[in-house]
Amino acid sequence: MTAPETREPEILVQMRDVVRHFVGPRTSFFGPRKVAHAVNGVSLKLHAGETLGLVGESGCGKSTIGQLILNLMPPTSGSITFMGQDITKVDKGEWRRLRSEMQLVFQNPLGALNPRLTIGAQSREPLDIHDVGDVDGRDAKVLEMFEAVSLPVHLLDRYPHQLSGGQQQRVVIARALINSPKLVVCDESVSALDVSVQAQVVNLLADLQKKLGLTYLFITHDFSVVRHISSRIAVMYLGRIVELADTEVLLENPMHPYTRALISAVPVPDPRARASRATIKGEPPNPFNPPSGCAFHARCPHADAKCRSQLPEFRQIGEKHMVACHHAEALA
Amino acid sequence: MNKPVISDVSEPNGLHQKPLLEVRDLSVVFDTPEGTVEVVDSVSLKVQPGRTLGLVGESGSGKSVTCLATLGLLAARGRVTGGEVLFNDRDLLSISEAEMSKLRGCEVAMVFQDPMVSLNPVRSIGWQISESLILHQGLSRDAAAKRTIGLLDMVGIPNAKNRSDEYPHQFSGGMSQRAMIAMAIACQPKLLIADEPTTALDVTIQAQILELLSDLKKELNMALILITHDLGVIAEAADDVAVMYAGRVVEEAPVLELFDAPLHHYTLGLLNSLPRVDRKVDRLSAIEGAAPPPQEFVTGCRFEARCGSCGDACSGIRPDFTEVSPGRRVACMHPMSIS
Repeated sequence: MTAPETREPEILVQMRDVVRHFVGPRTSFFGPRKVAHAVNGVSLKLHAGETLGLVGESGCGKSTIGQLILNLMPPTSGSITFMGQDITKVDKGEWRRLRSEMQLVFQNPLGALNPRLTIGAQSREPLDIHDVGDVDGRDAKVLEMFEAVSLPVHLLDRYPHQLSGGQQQRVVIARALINSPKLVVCDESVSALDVSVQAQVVNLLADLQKKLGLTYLFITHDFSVVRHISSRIAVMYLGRIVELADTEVLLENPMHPYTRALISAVPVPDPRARASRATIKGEPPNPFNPPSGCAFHARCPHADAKCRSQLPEFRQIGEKHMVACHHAEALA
Repeated sequence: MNKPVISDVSEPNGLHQKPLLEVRDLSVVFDTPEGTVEVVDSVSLKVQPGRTLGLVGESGSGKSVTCLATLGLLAARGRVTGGEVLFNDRDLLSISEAEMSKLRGCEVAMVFQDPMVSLNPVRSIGWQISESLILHQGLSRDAAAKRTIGLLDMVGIPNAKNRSDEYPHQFSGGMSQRAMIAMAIACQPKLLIADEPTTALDVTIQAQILELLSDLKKELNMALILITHDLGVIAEAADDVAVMYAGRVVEEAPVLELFDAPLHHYTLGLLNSLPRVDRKVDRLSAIEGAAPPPQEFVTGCRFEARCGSCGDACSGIRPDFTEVSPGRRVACMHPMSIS
């Protein structure tokens, strides 16, 4: 690596050429097993304090990236560093310490909460596990977190099923943040919530980030949510990142045909905008049987012979704007 | 990539036409161990022939239950306690179950959110579609199989002949939903009820399915009730809109008028809280609080607790509908003014 640039903020997470395979069923009784490249050579940096939006259709590998960063599964190859340490190589004790610096907020809060523990008890659990402070201090911290996520204190003795969906997600967020982590991976964290509640939780996440200096990896399929919360956006297609840029640059000037299609497919709440929509044909390819060349060529209206045979390089196209498309300049 | 998804908004014609389906003051209760709760409270809706009614609301607002009750599909604990459902002048609430079975899947059909759950995993896709043709139209198995292939072709399933022999697990989510739609339109219904038909799908596939529904609607000249929580989908596909909140319809309007000048504070709040891909705001203006669960439904305005413009008159009595213009009604004591 070159000398660190002066204005470049601290790098919290760095993925280098990360590959993750999943082994599928055998092709025949004695035949070889099929392999899906869920993540296929991804290099990504997360700067401290930023929100990186990771967007793509289902099956593109975006959740796998989240799990890899949290070391919930090992990469097949490549390296992932968190706060300067390679998380795939650290020893158990060190990992235990690092682990408390990263948290995960899933889509379905009811599935993430223990149905048999009160809200108060499970919000305190991370402090118990990591043995932080004394009992009184932990209870005080729980109250502090409840206030931070605007949950009324009388809910402390309730059980998860007694809360509304929005309240449940607030509990999950409070529990995730109680140990003051540096990184929070939000995997479709607001997708299951009703719009009026979704807006509350999006605002809450933004407020907490400002207050606590959090770094978010915000994984979602929803471009409209990601526009409001992310500073940068990475678009994934079939295990690879196809475009990466600052949020406004990406949305105002998308370079990859897939990014354009994805943005234009989002329904806009304006009946007068109907005619301007464009759809892409077909469905994402099967990761067990990926197409040759650019993975998007079968659905791309601009594909030619080169796209069908040659994998486009992920390259710089503008200031802090990366794209993997042979024809990005011509299409601009 | 350049085909527009859906044609221009249909002209607000046909408003004085006789509706195909008219729901009048429909109320539905559920018996729970804790007592009886009313989940749908005097809901009235009109669907004009050939038009799309968008039924929008948050979870628990009663939009699905309203439609299930309309087709007599309520679960064992649900009961209709009042109102009538007129479909082509017949009251669906008073006809026999046998007559209802004849009507369902034939004149009125329904498509649900999760196609994988709606399809039978041990029968081929083709078999399942033929079933309704054999049952309702009395076709022979061969004739039904032939027609099935035509239907699969119509809903945009490539290589329909071979794929009709495949099983649901061999279909992707989008393809399964297409198959469900093929099944629903098999007998050329006059009304198709689509309950969150695209919610489980990716946005790119959602756009394709909405386009398909709009094409089919025109081709078969059917009316559509589109149930969704997504105002984006409403803007994309509906002609008329009914907004539901906590078991009641709070506002009805043609789609352009609803988005241009919402009258109910809930509609306005919902529109303002939407994150939009086409513009950036610094902060989403969320509606405070959450929608009440059915056990906590009150007689007065149910949005009062979250509303910034409520007055003394709002609690206690149910706000009546004010008809602002034909097809445009609002149930609010202090509606937004039309400017």
